[in-house]
Amino acid sequence: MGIIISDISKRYGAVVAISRASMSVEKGEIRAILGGNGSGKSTLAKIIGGIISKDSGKIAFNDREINFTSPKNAKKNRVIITSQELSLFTNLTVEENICICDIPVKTGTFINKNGISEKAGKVLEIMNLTDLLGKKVSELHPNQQYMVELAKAIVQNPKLLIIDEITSALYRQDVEIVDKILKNLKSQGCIILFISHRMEELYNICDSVTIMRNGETIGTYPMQEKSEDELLSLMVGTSMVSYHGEGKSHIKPTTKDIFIHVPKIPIQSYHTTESLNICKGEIIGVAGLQGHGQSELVKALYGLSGIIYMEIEGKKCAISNPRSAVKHRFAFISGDRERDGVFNERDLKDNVVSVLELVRKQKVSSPKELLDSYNIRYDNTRQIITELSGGNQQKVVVGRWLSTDPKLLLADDPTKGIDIKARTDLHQEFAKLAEQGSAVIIVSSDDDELVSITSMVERSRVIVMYEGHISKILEGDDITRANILAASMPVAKPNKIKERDKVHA
Amino acid sequence: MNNSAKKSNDILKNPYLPAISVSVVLLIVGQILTKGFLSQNNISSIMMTTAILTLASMAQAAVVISGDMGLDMSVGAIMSLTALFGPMIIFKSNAITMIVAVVSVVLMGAFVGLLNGIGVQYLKIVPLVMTLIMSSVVNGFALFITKGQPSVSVSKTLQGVGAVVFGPLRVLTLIVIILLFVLEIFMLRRSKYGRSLFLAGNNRNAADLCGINSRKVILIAYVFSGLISGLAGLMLVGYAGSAQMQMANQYTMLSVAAVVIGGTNLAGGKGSLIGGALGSLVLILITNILQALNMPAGLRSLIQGIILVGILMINSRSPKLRQ
Amino acid sequence: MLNIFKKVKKWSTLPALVLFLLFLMIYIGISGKFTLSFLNSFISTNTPAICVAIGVAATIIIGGTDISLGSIVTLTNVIIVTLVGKNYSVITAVLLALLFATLAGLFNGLLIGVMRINPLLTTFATSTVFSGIALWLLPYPGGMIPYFYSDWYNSKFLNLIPIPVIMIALPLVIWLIFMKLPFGIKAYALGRDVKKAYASGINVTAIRLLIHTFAGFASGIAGICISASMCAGNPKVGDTMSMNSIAAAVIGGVSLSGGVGGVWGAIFGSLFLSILISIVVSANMSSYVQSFVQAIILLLGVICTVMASDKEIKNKITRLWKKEDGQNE
Repeated sequence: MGIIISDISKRYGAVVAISRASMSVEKGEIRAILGGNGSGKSTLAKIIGGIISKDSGKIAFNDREINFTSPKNAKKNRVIITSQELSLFTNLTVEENICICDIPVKTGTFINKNGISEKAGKVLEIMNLTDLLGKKVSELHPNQQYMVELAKAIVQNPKLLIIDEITSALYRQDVEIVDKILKNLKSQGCIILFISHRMEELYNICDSVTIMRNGETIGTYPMQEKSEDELLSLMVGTSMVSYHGEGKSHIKPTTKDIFIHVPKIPIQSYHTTESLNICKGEIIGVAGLQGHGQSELVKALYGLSGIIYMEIEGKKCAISNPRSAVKHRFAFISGDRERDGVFNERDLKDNVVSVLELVRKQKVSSPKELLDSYNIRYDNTRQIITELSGGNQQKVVVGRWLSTDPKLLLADDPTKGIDIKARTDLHQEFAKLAEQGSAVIIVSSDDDELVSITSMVERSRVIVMYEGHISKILEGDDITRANILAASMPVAKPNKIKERDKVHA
Repeated sequence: MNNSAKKSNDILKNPYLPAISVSVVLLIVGQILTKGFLSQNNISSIMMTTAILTLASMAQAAVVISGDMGLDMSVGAIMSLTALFGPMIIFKSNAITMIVAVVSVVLMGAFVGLLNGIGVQYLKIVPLVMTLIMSSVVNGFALFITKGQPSVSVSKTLQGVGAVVFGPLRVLTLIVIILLFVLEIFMLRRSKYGRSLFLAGNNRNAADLCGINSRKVILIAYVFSGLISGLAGLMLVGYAGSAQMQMANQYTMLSVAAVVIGGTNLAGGKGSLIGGALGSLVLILITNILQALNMPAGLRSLIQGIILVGILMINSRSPKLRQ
Repeated sequence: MLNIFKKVKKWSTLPALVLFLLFLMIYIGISGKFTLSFLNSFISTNTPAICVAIGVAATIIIGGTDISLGSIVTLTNVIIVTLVGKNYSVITAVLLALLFATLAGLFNGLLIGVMRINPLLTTFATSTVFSGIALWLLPYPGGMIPYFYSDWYNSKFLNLIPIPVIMIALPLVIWLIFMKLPFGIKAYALGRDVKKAYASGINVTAIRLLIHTFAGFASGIAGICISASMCAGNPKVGDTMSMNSIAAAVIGGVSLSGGVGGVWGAIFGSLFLSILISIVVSANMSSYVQSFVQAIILLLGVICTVMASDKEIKNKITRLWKKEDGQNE
């Protein structure tokens, strides 16, 4: 019993996504799949879920060979995949979304509206989210959408459930619920393949872990037997220390020369405002639970929430849109490459020089030099950008901005979905920029990342946001994972959290 | 060996290859099926009609590249408009009136294009709908001004100019070809504007974040489209010798078809003017062959449609949902 | 109570309904007459447009579009006339034409659903095909259909319901049944996002196939009605219908990006356009001005409805309101 995957390969043109991946998972086992970006874990998940086809290899599920030709086919065999790309339809209600794969009917044909609400209600009750019933998905917070996505999977009574990265956007209290649900599924004999980058969750939830690297399965180990560092070095291939404290120790800044003073930063979804002083050469990390106004803070500074007034080196000025922000030598790097960063039909040159040549009107003599200076792996400058791996694409976007020599770099979760090597490269670039006297504000959903990057420069702070306010400013040695976590949830009592959800949902 | 293989691979990947090879095949088919297909007369008529459609396709291509399912369905209406009013301006036989005519025709088209651009960029009306309605506004306006007089006679002057421009010298074709390459290279590929247009058309969000004024850039694409359409209308009436109400309406769809055959992506951010020109050539050749075979109009349009469906099946299939 | 009000406010059909009623009142004001016979003739002349609007709305809702429906209407009309001319009985001719129209829709569906060609391009190409066939069969306006056909169209079913209403009801009821099936939810889901729909196990191809076939059927009904009101054939009769129906759907709150709106919106949008034409006609304007004025009002109508559904502009207006309130305090 269980699932046995043997020798699965998949290639896209010349690029090998997976080569001879094999593993077997027992009934009732929760298996983590761990690997850097481009290691093929998402591809493998999609192949098992029937979304993409495999080139060769076999999958046997409960002693029967399966070969799904479509997600529909997989669902019939109760193999369900939830992925980081949400599959929810924003124009439909929560319950319609949850039930869309198998809509309850009456008299065999017509939609049973009560049946839909009941079916969805049952799952949402377990998740403490019954007040979402009747709402359109477009009205939900991102983290709630991820919960609904999970509900949509659970409602299909999976025998094999693949969870691809959906927990990385969840509140911690939600993760606890997910934990409970998964343990329950496990006791019913469901196999769960769990893909996540958050080590803490993996240790809490999973029984065993399969490591993937360059499209191959490296090995499978009981979860508790391997330390975090051991797992990381298996993923990377060479032995390396995880990036905790990759730089200097935190020094509390003594003097402060204020570079930019912003009296009023609007956080629209909470109708609040915050003020901020930014110093030269400073890296400010912005932490907090997902959706507490961190992104909105940096976006507002970039002029994306209407006109914003600030004093730059004592001079008053107003930034009304990205164009004027660029004029003041601001830069903005978003973690959502596809939407905000990459021009996917254009070549590397067009992508990397877009700001410098078209907006700042400076001629770039050699785009090649530019690309080389940011450690980007590529063939030639006329390559279409989507031929590169995700991490390299993001490096191109970062290169686009760093080449403009920005005074203030705003980064909204810039390393989302990027492997550790590329991530470290980017951190170093950011630190270099700060050392040259520019300021960097970086939002991250990964607290470790903030601890690490703020330790790389002399002057740094972490501001923690909660409900649209800065709840705490951490400096020096106070910047630790525990402190950030504590400040992210000033009211950790469950009933309070419920109340808050009611207010803001 | 490896190098030459790579070279031949590059040639095979050339986006213009399908259109060029289809044109060659059509020329051969045309010569086999009909007498005098490659005669000087017929060739020059093919070249001229291709030149006019090429202008229309250039107008269309700019808007398609601007992205957001951009389509300019008012190309034909603007052409009809300027075909009606252009000749009215040329009343004296001298170069000045000719220049005045060209300028006013271009302004007329650009104004309609500006309205389109405002509708699409500021009022956020979907391009297809905005330009469609604009085309009926323009047609209605023409009817209103001309009081439904079915045709405006073309002055002797324009006919005279026509004889020079459209005569055996084929100056028109030459002008259009020069214009085509100048705009392709210096506007679309090299200029800051052209490159911004590609970026805004490809990913508007990212372009805005880069500090590109996408709204302005896209607006200008619509103005450019109107402007070129206006010019195309004047050329059309010069070639046809007389103007009629809505004489150019078919050019809207033909221009879309030409652009698609030329390999421009309807999703925006990709494409070229030269591709549209080759697409125009293919379409005109098909029409010309069918006309030479004396087919009834209905059958002709049926065959054109089937060919178009065939081209779409080869050219424009979206990727499979399952990879 | 407040809830109902909120729901009505969010109802995507509302702007079209308001526009229609407003212009209906203007019409009554101008012409000073509002009789049952006016209503009857108003509906019977506009039945074809309404049917096409229903068809096109369906294709837009699933994230596509169809600009070949006008030529399918023409084709239906020409086939009926040609068959009657070849001594087929009217009923056979009508049913055969409806069959052809449905097959034409199926053809669109095959190209879009199975061959995965962009709907706009596909239907552009097929509209050339369909109108080409029509023009081939009937190069010039002409042909005759016996007048009893027209009499039937203007009669009442069981002396109660006008036939045109029943004709509208045919596609409408089919659509409403669709919406009562799981198919309905899936169609709206598909309209929002194809990839997600596929990943959710929805049969994308089947939905596209069925909806485009349905649009063909609806246009066939439109062709039957238009033939009945003309009792003759015209190879250009449907030329403007494709575009007008899309405009009607947009005015009716059907979003061209898919997944939003409903056929009721398209129906009221279409009625609004029709009443508009009636007003322009009855205002004693010269026929040269008419089309210009119509187009301008159409433009204004679309601008209004688009702005009414635009959240950004809505927010601005509410903010302005709030500001004024604040000043008053």
